[in-house]
This record gives sequence, structure tokens and C-alpha cells, in this order.
Amino acid sequence: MLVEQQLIEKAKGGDAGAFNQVVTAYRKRILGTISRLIGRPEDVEDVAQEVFVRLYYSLEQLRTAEVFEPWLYRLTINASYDYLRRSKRRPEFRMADMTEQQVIMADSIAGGKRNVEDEEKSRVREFVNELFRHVSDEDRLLLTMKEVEGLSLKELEAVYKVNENALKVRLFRARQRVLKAYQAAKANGKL
Amino acid sequence: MTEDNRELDELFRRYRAACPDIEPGPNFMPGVWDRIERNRSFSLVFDKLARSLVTVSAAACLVLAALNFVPRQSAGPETTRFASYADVLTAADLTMEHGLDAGSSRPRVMLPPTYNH
Repeated sequence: MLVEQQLIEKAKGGDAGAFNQVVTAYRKRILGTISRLIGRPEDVEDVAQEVFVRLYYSLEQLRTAEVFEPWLYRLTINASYDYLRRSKRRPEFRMADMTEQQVIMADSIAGGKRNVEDEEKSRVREFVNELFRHVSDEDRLLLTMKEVEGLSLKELEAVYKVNENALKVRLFRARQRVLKAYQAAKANGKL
Repeated sequence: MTEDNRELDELFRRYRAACPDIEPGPNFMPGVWDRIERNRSFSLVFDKLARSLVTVSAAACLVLAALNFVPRQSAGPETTRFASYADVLTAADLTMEHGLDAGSSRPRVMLPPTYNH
């Protein structure tokens, strides 16, 4: 835990200062997780803000402070899932739709592409995002939490509130699909 | 584990490195509170609207209930107001049998000639 349980209890009781401290402690980790879950750096902050707004309104439903982290991960996964669904419905992404801050971020990302290392990172992101198109959004998020974020099956069980065996089956199937897509890309020389 | 599986694991490791933890911008916290306030004001408006709707519905129910119990000034005799159609017919029949309808303005029923003997 990044914060003490008493702080979470205080935030749960409506203490705005305690809530601010909780957000400050977790925001960097949540921003990183979201960036890996959705694969689009320009929208990460927007989704993270949504996570903390949901946290604010649902904190009173939290039974004990011990389950805070799985709870926060659950909110993160749900907000990322909603984002992925929304972005699928969006036909195209236009610069005119972006806020000023998003334009600055997109520019800095585009500017960074001049750097060889950044270009390689961008290529990896695009390639993995392409592979994830072969699984559903739910499976993409589950697979990312396991394979990229490195959560154990026990931790995932707490986040998803689903039996470990069911998770194993789902993870295995999702990984097999991604593996097939990877093999196909390799055979086509897309690597 | 196959070679492809190992390569996929390596790719996931590279993906993690390609999506590092992001430093939040200076407007992150104000943005969160802004959204919380917006949601709060929306739910307040919704709450007020729901409460007024409940009050109006309750008032309408009371008015309708009261109207049901207060006798109407222009209503006819008790029998016509509360009796069923069959009761009204029976009452009319009884009146005819006892010849009480002589002075009334109710028209006599004229039977066809074949029934007159």
C-alpha cells in the first residue's frame, strides 16, 4: 500500500485533504497502468481523472481499507474499458477535437519520434496494440494486467472477484489468440 | 515453452518499457475536483427535480382522492349515482308495475297490435 489505511478511512469519511493525499500517492501508478491498458498516451490523463472521480463517489462503498488497491485497479480497468468502447465508436480522431493540452502532448510525442529510441518505443506500442485487436477489450485488459503489469493470479482474483481457474482459462485463450496473431505477423515479415 | 511464447513475453516486456509511468500535468488535481463538482451539481439538480416530481405526484393523488369522496352538487338521486345498470332497470320496472308512473313524464311503452289482445 502506498498510503496508510487510516488515510483511506479519513478519505472515506469525506475528508477532502485525505482524498487529495490518496490521489497524489496513486496518480503516477494509475497513469502508468492506464497508458499500458489503452496504449494512447494523449488520453491517459483524461481516463485517470475519470478513475479518481469514480473513486471519490464510490469510496463510501469500500468495506475495508485493506481491499483499497484491488478496488482502485477495478475502477481503473472499468474506466479503461469504457474508454476503449467509446474510442471504437469514434470513427476518426481529428486534431480539432483535441484540447489544447492534448495537442501539446501529441506534439511532444510526435517530436520525440525524431529520437531513434522513442521511434522504437512507438513502433512496439503500435505493434502490440495491433496484436491486441485480435482479442476482445475485456481480454486485452486482463492480459495486460497479467503479462504487462505483472499482477499475480491471486491479485487478479481480488480485482475481478472471479474464481482463479476461470481466470486461468480466460488468460490462456486470450494469450493463444495473441500468440497466433504474433506468429502470423512474423510469417508476414511485419516484425 | 515454445520459441514464439518466449518472444511474446519479451515483446510484452518491451511494451511495458515503451509505456512508462507518466508524470501527471499541473492541472491534474484541479481537473479531478472540477469533474467532481460538475457531477455533484448535476446530481443536486437531478435530486431537486426528483423531489419536486414526487411532491407534485403526491399532491395530485390527494386532490384526486378528495374529489372522489366529495359529493357532486349537480349529481342526480342516490340510485342513479351509485346503483348498477341492472338496479336502475329493476327500479324502473317496479315503478311501472305499481302504476306509480302515471303522473311522471316517462313515455308509455306502446306494444305492437299483435300483443294487444
